[in-house]
Amino acid sequence: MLNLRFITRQVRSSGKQALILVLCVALSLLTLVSLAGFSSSVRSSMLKDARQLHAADIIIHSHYPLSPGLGSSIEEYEKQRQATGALVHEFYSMTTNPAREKSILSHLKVVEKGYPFYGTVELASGRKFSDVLVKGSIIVEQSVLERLDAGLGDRLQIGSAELIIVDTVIAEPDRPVSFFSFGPRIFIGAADLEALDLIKMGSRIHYNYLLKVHDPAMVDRLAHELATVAVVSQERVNTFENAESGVKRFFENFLFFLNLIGIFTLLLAGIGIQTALGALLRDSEYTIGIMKAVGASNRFICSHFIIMIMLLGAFGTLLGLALSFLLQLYFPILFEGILPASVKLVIAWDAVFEGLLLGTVVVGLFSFLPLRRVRDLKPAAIFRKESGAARKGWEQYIAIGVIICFFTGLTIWQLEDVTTGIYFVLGLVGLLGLTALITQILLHIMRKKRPTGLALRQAFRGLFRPKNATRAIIITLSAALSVIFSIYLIEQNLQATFIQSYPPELPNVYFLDIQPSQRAQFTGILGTEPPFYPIVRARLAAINDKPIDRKVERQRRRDNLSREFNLTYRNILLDDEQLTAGKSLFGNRLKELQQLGEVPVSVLDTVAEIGDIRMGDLLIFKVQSIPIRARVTSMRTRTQSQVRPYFYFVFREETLKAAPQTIFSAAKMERAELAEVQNRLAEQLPNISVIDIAKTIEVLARIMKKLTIIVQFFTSFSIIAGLLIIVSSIFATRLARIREAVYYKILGASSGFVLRVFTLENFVLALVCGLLAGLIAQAGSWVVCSRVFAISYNPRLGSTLMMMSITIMLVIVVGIGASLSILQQKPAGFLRDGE
Amino acid sequence: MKAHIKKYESQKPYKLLIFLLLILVVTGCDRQDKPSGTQSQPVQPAQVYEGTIIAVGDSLTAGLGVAEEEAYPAVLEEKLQQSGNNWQVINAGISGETSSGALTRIAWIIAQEPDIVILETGANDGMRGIPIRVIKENINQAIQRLKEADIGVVLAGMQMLQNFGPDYTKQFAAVYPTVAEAQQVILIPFFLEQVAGTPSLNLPDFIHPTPEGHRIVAQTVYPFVLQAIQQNSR
Amino acid sequence: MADKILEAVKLSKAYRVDARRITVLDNISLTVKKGDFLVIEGKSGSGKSTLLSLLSGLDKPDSGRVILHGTDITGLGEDQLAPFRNRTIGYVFQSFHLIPSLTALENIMFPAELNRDPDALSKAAELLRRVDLHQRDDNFPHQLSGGEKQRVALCRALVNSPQIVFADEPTGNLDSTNGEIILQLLLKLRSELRTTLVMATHSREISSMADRIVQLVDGRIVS
Repeated sequence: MLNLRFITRQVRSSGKQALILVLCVALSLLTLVSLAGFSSSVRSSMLKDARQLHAADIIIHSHYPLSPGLGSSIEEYEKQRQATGALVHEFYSMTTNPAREKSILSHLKVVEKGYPFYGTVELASGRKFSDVLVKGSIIVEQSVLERLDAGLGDRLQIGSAELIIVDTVIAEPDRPVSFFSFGPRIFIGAADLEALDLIKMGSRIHYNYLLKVHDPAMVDRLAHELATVAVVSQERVNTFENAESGVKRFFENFLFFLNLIGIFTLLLAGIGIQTALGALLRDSEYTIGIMKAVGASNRFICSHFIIMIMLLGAFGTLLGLALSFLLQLYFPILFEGILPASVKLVIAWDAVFEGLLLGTVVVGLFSFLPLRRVRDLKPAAIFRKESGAARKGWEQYIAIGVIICFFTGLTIWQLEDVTTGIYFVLGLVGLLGLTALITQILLHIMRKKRPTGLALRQAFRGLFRPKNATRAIIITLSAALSVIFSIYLIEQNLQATFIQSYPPELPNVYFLDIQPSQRAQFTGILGTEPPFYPIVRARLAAINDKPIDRKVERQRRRDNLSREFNLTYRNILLDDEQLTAGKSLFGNRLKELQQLGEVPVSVLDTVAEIGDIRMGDLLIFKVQSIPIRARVTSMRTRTQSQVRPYFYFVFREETLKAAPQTIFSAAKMERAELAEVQNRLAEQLPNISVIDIAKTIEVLARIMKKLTIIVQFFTSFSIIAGLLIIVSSIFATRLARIREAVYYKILGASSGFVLRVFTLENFVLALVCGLLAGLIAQAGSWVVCSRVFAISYNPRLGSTLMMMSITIMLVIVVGIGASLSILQQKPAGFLRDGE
Repeated sequence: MKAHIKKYESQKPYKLLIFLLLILVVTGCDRQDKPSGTQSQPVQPAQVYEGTIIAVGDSLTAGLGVAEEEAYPAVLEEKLQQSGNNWQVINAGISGETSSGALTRIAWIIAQEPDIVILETGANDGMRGIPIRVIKENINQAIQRLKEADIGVVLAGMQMLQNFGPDYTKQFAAVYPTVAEAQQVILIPFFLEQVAGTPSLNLPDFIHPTPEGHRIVAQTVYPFVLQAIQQNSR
Repeated sequence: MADKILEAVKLSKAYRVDARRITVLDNISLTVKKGDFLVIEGKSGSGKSTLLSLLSGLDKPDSGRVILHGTDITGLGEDQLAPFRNRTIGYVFQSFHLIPSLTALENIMFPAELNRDPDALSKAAELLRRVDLHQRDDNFPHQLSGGEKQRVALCRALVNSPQIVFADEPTGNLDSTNGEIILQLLLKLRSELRTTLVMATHSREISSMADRIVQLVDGRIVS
C-alpha cells in the first residue's frame, strides 16, 4: 500500500533526475549491446580475413615430410571427420621456356585438392581454380609470361616435366605469408609432383600441411594436440590466429582495441549511472531526513530506494534493449556504404544477457555507496549544514574493493589475459588516485583564492558550498572525459600507424645486391635516379674501449649490440630524420679527430638507448676485422613523416666508401614497367635480385583500409555514446546545484547575474576537468600505445586542445541548460516554500 | 617522454618489410641474426703467426646461427694449431653475400695481405637463381686477382639445392671444378660434404650447419688448407 | 519520581565548521514532568534548536545522557531510535519540513503508516478536519501557505498520539495571526491528548503560558 505510492511519489517529485538515470542506463545498455554485437561481427569478419591469409585453420610447417607421429594424428582427425587436410609443397626452381631458351627462377606451389580452404585463388579467366588446375597444367603469374616470352597454351620445363600454361593468377589469398619471394609464382597440381622429380636428397622444400577444422571451436585444441606430437624445432604447428604474418600484429592490436573500447564503454556506463544515481539520492536527502525524523527506519528507507532504483534501472534496461533492436533494424540503412558489407549489427543474445547482468550489477554496485550515505544520514542533517566528512567505515572500503574486483574481473574477461587485465586495472586505479590527488590540490589552491569580481567570487563560493559535491563531480567527470579523450587519442595513433603504413607512394619493388660499380648503369635501366642505400656489414667491438659483452647482449629481448650491423654512409640528413644532439651530422672538428685516428659517426637514438651510447663516445667497429674508431658527433631521431629504411650508424662517405659494400634500392612502378626493367636487368646486370611485393601490398592495403574504416566507426560510436552519458550526468549533477540559484534571485539578483555566476562556475569546473582529463588521457594513451600496441605515440596536442575546448563548451551549455527552468521562474514561488 | 624510443621497434608492416629486407640482404634467408663470437677485444695482444689465412665467404663461413668461435674458421685454426701449424684464420664471412659482393670486396681482402684465402661463395647466388655465367665469371675474376696478388687460393666447391632443377644444379656444381682447373687452384670438391641434407647437422632452416656441422666442415677443409700451407712454404 | 518523562544529564555538544570547533551546549541538565509544558527560552543562536535535537534524539550529544520515557536514548542506534521516535515523539519545526513529494494528507498519514496503524487514513483525515484543512488534503506542500503547512505539520506530529511533542519555534516563520492560530491549536490538542510539550521559542508571550521555563544563554542554563 504505502510502498508503491511512496515510490511513485518519489519518482514523480525527482522526475528529472529519475529520467536521467533511466536515460543513462538505457544509453549504457544500448552502447554495450550494440558494441558487443558489432564486435562479434567484426571479429568473425576479421577472423575470416586472418583465415584467408593462411588459407586454413591450422598450418603445419616443416622442411621435411611430416613425421610419423604427426602424420598419424592428422590421419586420425581426417578419419573422424574432424578436419580436412591438404599438403602444399613450396619451393624455388628454375623454369624454362624451351621454345625461347629462356629461364627464370620461379616460386612453385604444388597444391593438393582442397587448397585454399579459405579465400579464393582468382584467375584471369574468372574460372574456378580447382577446375582449371588439372594434371599436366600450370597456372602462372603474369610476369612469368612476360619474362619467359610465353603465352597461354605454351609448355614450360620445370624439373623433369613439361607442363602447359592454362591460366594466369590475379590474386592468391595467402600471398602475404610468403611475400618475400625471389621469383614469380607458379601453381602446380599435386598429381604432377612426382613427374617434376625435384624432391630428393638435397632439396629444400617447404612442406606446408594445411588443415581445415570443421568445428571452429576445436581449432585451438587440435593445434595443441598436434603441437605435442610434432618434432620440436623441425615441425611448427600454428593456427591462423597465431601464425606469423605481416598483419598478425594488426589483427591483434585491432582486436585489443575492440576490447578496449568495450571496457571503456563499460567504465563510462558505470560512471554515468553512478553520477545520476548519486545526484538522485542527494536530491532526496532532505526528504530522507524528514522521514527519519518522523521515525522511518533505515530498512524502510533503503528498501524503498532500492526498489525505486531497481525499477528505474529495469526501465532503463528495457529502453536500452528496445533502442538496440531499433538500431539493428535501421543499421543497414544508416550505415550503408560506410562499413564493409561483412560487418553487421547483430543482436547477440549473450550480449543482451551480459548487458542485463551488467546493468543490474553496475546499478547495484554503484547504488551501494550512496545508499550507505543515506543510512548514515542523521535526521538533524535537515537543520544544519555540517561539513563533517562522511564516515569511512570498513563497509565503504569493502564496497570499493568489490567494485574494483568486479571491474578487474570484467577487464580480464574482456581482454582474456590475466596479467594485462590486472596491469590495466592497476593503471586505472592509479590514474584515478592521481586525479583525486590533483583535484584536492587544485581545490585547495582555489579555496585560498579570493577573486575581486563578484560573479567570479560567487562562482568560486558555489564550488565550495557545503554539500556541493564539487570534488566528486570533478573526479567522475575527469575520469569519464579521460576515457573519451583516450579512445580518441589511441584511435588517432592507431589510424596514423595504419594509414602511414601504406602510403600511396610506397615502394612495391626492391632491388638487392647492386654493386657500387653498377650504380650508373642501374640508374640508366630504371630511367630515374632511385634512392641508393649502401650497406657495410660490421660488428660493434667496444664502446669507450669497453668490449661488448656478447653474453649479456644475447639476453636482450629485442635488438642487441652483438649482431652484425648495417652501416651506411651519406653526408646529408634524410627528410624523415632530425638531429637531437650535435649541430651537424659529423660536427666541425674533423681535423682534430683525424689526428687522433678517429672518424665521426652519427647514431640513431634507438640504438643509443640500447647501448647507452652518448655524444662524444668512442665506438670501435670491426669491418672485416679492420677496426674503425668512430667518435659520436651527432644523435638522430626519426620523425616518421615518411617511410624509409633506416640505419643506426651513419658515417661520412669518405670513411666507408672503400669498404666492402652492397647497395639496396627501392622503387614504385607499374606492372608493365617492372617487367621491362626486370628483363633489361636480366640482360645487363644479372646479379641484381628483384623482389616484387606489389601483390602482397595490395592484399595488405585492402585489409588495412577495411580495418581503418571499422576503427573509425567504432571510435565515433563509442565517443558519441560516451558524450551522451556524460551530458546526462553533468545535467544530473548540475540540476542538484541549481536550487542554490534561488537565493540569488530572492536577494534580488538579475537573471544576467545568475547566468554569469553559473557560466563562470561551470567554466572553472570544466577547465579543471578538461585539464585533468587531458593529462590523464595523454599518460594513459601513451602507455597503451607504446606498451600494449607497441606503436609510435604522437601526443596530438592540437586534438587534445580541441577536445578540452569542446568539453568546456559542453559543460557550460549543459550546465546552463539545466538551470534554465529556474532562471525563468519568479522567485516568489520559492519564497513561499521558505526553504 | 620516451615516446620516440618505441617507434623504431614498432613493426608496421612496411617497416617489417624493410626490416626483413635489410636482414635478408645480408643474411640470405634467415631473419634471426644470432650474435656470435667473442672477438671482442679491440686490441688483441700481438701474436706472431707463421702465416695468415682469410676465410672469405657468406653465412656458411660467418657461422650464422652459431657463435663465431663455433664457426668453421675458428675450428680450423684450432686444428692447425693442434697439428703444429701456427697459422691464424680470420673469419671474413658476410652473411647473405653473393659472388658479386665477394668480387667487389676482394681488393679489401688483398689489402690485408693474407698468405692464403679460402673462397667460399656462390650459394646465395644460386638461391636467388642468378645466372650460372655470372657466378662463374665472379669467382674466376676473384681468383685471378688473388693470384695476381700472390695469394694462395683454396676454392670451396658448392652444390645447389636439388629442387632448383637438374639443369641448373648440374651447371652450378660444375662451376667450381671448371674454374679451379682453369686457374690451377686447390679445390675442396664439396664444402658441405656429409653435412648438407642431414637434418641433425643443420639448423631448422635446413641451410645453416650446427656447431657439429661446422666441425665436419673444418674437417673437410683441413687437408686442402694443409696442402695450401705446404705450397705457400715452398 | 514516576511522572518524570524526560531527563537530560550533563549534555554537551560542539560542532565542527571547517576547522573550527564551536561549543553549542555546555553541561546542560534538566528534567520534564509528564504532561508539563516546558519552554526553552533564548536568543537566536543560544543553542535552543540543538538542545531540542538532542532531547528528541534527532542528534547525539558529545557527552551526557538523555532519558526519554524511561529509555536512555543516547545509547540507542539509529535503527532502534527510529521506531522509538515514531511512536513516542512528535515534532513541529520552524520551517515545517514537510515531505515535498507527498500530499498534505499523505504527510500526516506517513508516521502512522510507518507504525502500521490500520486507521492511519481516518486519523489523518480527522486531524486535518480538526485544523480546518480537510479540503486541502490533495494539495502538495508547495501549494500551501506557511500557516497551512504548519497546521499539516502539527497534525503529523500528533497522528501517532506521542508521549511528548517537541516544537522548535513553531510560529517563527508565521505572521502573528497565523502564529496565534497554530499556538492555540497546539495547546488545545496537547491538553486533549495529555501530551507533554517541549517548545523552543524566544517569544515572552508564549513563555508566559508555560508550566516551566528554561533560559538558555550561550549554551548554558541561566535560571
